[in-house]
Amino acid sequence: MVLILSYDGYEQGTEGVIDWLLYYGHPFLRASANALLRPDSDWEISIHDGQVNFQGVNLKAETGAIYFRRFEAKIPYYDVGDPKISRQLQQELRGEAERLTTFVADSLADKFWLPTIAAANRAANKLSTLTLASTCGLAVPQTHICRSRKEVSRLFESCEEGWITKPIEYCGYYSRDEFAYTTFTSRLNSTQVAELPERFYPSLLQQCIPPSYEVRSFYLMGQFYSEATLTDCSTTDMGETTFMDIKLKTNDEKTRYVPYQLPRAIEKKLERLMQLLDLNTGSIDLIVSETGEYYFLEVNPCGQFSAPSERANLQLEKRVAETLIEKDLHYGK
Amino acid sequence: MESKPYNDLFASLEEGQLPIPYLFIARINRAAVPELSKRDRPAAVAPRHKCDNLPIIGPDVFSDSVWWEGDLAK
Repeated sequence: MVLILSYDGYEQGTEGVIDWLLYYGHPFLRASANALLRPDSDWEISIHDGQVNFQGVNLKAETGAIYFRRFEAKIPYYDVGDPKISRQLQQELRGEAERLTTFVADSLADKFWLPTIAAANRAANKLSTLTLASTCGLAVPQTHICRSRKEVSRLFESCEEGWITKPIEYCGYYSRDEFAYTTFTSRLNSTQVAELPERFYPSLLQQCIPPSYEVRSFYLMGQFYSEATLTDCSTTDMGETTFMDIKLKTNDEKTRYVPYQLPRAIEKKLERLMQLLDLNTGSIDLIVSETGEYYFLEVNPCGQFSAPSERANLQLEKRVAETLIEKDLHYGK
Repeated sequence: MESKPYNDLFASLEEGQLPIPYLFIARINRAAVPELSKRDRPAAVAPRHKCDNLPIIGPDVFSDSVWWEGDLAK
């Protein structure tokens, strides 16, 4: 049986794979970490003998392959009137949940994981991955963590193409009324630099690489399935800010998506990186500069792949399902 | 003059208290973001696979399968 650890709601990388598991008639079970925490959910866990049952299924005995998308619970914030007590309570509930989800994952450590949680967590750190990519011979943009206007000004003097800034980790959508607020990759100009606070929270500054086009490559068990995105212009102006983010070009009628073959030499370097990260799957972002050089940006172990799969006819959901079935039959009873 | 989006959310903070990207946070209409407009329609965020909407492709195909119904499926 394939165990799918995913979100409660719709998840693009999950649903399409389940379509194919159904098509092949292969048994599977879908579970979430939130379900694990719900008092009325059907989990039975005994620590002394390491048994984990869900919906009456003995996961240790029945599972051969695990498709990991996410196994992290939403921790409730209970407003008990004193923010300090509420925050402490939430932090402690998070600790309880983390130990429990980790135990469930650990008890299934001998199964085939696509990918393993440990590797996914490690690769999620963009900073460490960039350094590692560089050691694999991949070109990476110059990247710095700055804390002062002076540091940023110095960078501006050193590089003609300019600098972009983006969160080190992630910024979701903040909702207010009919608006959503989020950060996109922003290209700084000299006026903005001059207006920066003298000191600020540690921030990522990265050399701007004007792209000829961008490549998203899905890696699965040693194979690369790639799509190139070609745009008329790589920047988007909103008010006084210039964004340099491919996400803002999705609805642009001049944006083109095409299946793409990476040069073998680049694939070899990327494969080396994936091996060092112990990742058997992931979505890799690259920029191809105007001079034809391939710059590695990041790898997302549980990236969204349904859009490139459909646009470039890569059939990734089918390939993932077939991998899971093959491994399940091999690792299962 | 239109206020900076930053001030809509973080006016009470000094600018240096947040990483630089937050100074350039963008304000967009929810309806213009496919990901969010989808999220705003409950039917679109429900997991597609639950017991009552599975495509039926054969009587024995599902005999070994178990499905968990998430919150949104209820």
